[in-house]
Amino acid sequence: MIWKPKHNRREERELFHRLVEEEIDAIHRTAYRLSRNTAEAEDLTQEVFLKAWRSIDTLRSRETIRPWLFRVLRNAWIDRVRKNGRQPQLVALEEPPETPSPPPAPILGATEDRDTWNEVLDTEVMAAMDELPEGERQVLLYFTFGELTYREIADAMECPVGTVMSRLHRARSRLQERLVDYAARRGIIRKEEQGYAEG
Amino acid sequence: MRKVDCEDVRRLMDAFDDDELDAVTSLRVQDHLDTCETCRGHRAWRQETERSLQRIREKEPSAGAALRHRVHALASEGRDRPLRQRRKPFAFSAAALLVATFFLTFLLLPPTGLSGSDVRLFVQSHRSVNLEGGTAELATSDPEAAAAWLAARLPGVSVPRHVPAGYDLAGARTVEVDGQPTGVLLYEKNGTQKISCFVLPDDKPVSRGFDEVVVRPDGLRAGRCRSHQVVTWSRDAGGLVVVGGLGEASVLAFAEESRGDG
Repeated sequence: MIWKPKHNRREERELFHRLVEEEIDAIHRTAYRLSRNTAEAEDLTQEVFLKAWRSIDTLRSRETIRPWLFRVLRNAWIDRVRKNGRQPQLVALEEPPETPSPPPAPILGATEDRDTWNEVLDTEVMAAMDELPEGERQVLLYFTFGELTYREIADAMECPVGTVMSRLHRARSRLQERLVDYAARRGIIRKEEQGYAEG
Repeated sequence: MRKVDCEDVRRLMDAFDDDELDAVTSLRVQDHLDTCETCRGHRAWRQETERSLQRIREKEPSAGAALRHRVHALASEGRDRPLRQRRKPFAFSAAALLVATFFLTFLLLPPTGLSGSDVRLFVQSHRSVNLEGGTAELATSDPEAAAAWLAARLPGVSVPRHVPAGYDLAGARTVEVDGQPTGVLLYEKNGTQKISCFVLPDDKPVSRGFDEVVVRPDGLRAGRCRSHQVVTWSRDAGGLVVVGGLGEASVLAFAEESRGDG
């Protein structure tokens, strides 16, 4: 799709409808994960596309429009949190200390049913994701649910690519660490016997 | 070409798997992974986590038809009208709904102790009982024994005897959900999949707090709340709330088969 300033109203509408079809699922998924609430996710999605429609004549290219949409989403979300008086550690001002790398070699027990493990794992990952510091959570959501590249996330969050990389790394490390602990606790793996020392 | 060590590889592994490294660095990382079992182990855990995230993403609800319609309809309006003006009809509807809800809740319905009728409280209780180290007060696989134990503590409640297919009864316990004594039957599958069946003395429908819910003609409310599958229904001798962290099918099947039970 070629994004150019359009001044013809019919072309602007066509452009907007294509934009909606291409991006609405990613925006809605991310909004849902951010807010964890269906009604709020729909409201946020609508707000993002309303702003997109009002700015349609200024949106230039595919490369810039996705970060722009997610920046609008982020700002809309922050506004809502502030208005509602919620304080989900909106931005991690101080970077938390580096989490240790997870131990290697996930080995499922022979009797462990893979589907069962996956479902339990997913529940645990979702819970862990909700507990991440907000700055790390947003980067992870934008990458995983919004399917943005590092560069696009950096543009959306108005921060350097290096910050995106480090936040993403920390977020993933926290999830992995929690999964390893969980697996060990459930007896699915045994840390000592699998040689889970730092390599 | 300078070789990379384990520390470098752990640092670069995310970008390597996300295809965000330049070709030369990517080759260096690949060379190291080919020869380092420890780093391959780290990578395996990383990939396990990523696969989980992808599964979660695929399960997320996509934008529904009504939302798509509303969003597309934005383009039929002029672009110059202020945001506040566009949102007025929605704001008016929301206010009207709130007034109606208040009216129905506090003026028309008899007092019910509604604070306990929020499914989020049951999901929270399910998590604390099953996932955070809670245990059954009565450990038994006998449904009759569990029913008798609960009936002695919560006189008048009707306790299901049905055990979900593929699950084992692990036991029973009582909990307080928002100050109201409530019985819980605990079921397990493979020691990991858990279902909690809350037995309520109150027969008022538990209907609030769902993230998404379908109210079926047979009176079952089936939906999701905080990533858990939840089914609620009422009957003369009390209400039931079934919460499972896992499959929708087993929770729903349990609800359907237990409706006439007890």
